[in-house]
Amino acid sequence: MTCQYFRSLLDDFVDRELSPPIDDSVRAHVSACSACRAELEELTRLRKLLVGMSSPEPEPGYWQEAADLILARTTEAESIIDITTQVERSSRERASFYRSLVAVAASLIVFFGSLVVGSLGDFRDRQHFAVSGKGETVTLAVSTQTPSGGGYIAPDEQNLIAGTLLLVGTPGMFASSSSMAIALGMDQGR
Amino acid sequence: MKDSVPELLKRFVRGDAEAFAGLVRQYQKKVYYVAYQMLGNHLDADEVVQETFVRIYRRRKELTDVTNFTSFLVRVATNYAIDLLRKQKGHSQIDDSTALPGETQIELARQVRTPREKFRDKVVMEEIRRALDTLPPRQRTTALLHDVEGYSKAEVAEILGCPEATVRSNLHIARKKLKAILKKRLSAKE
Repeated sequence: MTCQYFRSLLDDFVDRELSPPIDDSVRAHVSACSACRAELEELTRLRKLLVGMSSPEPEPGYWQEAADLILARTTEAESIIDITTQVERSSRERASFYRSLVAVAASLIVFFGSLVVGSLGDFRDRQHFAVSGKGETVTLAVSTQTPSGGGYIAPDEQNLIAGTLLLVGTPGMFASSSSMAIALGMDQGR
Repeated sequence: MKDSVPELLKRFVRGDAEAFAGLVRQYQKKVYYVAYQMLGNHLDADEVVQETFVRIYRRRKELTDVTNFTSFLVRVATNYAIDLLRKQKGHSQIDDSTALPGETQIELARQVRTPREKFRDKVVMEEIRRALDTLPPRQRTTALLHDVEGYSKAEVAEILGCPEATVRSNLHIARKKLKAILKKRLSAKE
């Protein structure tokens, strides 16, 4: 076997990773071959130098300080994130609740507005019939009676529209259960 | 009684902050020493310690699949250290003479040694460190983990996420380069 073969084994030889028969054969070769022995000596010295390298001990108190800092950056940071998320969620829920409230208020305004408009329509009708009954001028009757156009809406239609708007407005209120929880004062525990 | 590492890991994965603190206390020195060997100064080693544990904390769900926590931890640490090395290579390298006091880097200083010996040890340490600095990050890390920190080739392969054959080859190349750089030192008789 050649020197090249034995030199390829020197790394494992210094690391004591060769099987006993191969280890013995390397040992025998280097005792007879001065070039390979010199190579092995160099490698052994290098290994010794590297093993002798060590890291210094940091300043006293460093380990505790480092651990505290790590915990501050992880577990404590996470609890801050939790609180922030909770605050954000709470403000989102509040905003949603107020939006629902505005929607309901708007629906109610439209509803009552429609009722008022409806009553005015009834009043106009009554006025028209009253005028016609007295046999006064036709011009007056035309100016007050607008049966099929010109913004006239029958009372039944008005009630239907108002009811629909009320129904459309309210789902916002019920869409978010958390809004309901806030409305019912059930959000205190969080 | 102190919890075992598997027990701490189980609790940590479930989100137990105390268990995480226990793991930090138990493993921070290991991470620091590996990082110090790779980067050669306290500030960078400290950064690696911090980042490693923060990353471990964020990736704690993955730990259920981890069989060897030490390897996993050292892998995270060495990956971060390699990134730092690459970044530093991109910038102008810090002059070694401005690094932290070299005498603190010598383990042998703990023994009773003459000032002349201390000085020689310091010079040798600096020389080895400079030689290591010339290696590409993967080869340097392989040599440090195996020869300085004492990890087996299989462990280094697991830490670096590569086949054992790659570790052998990297180690062989690294030692060859170091021998060439430190030729004068290695051939000198002690």
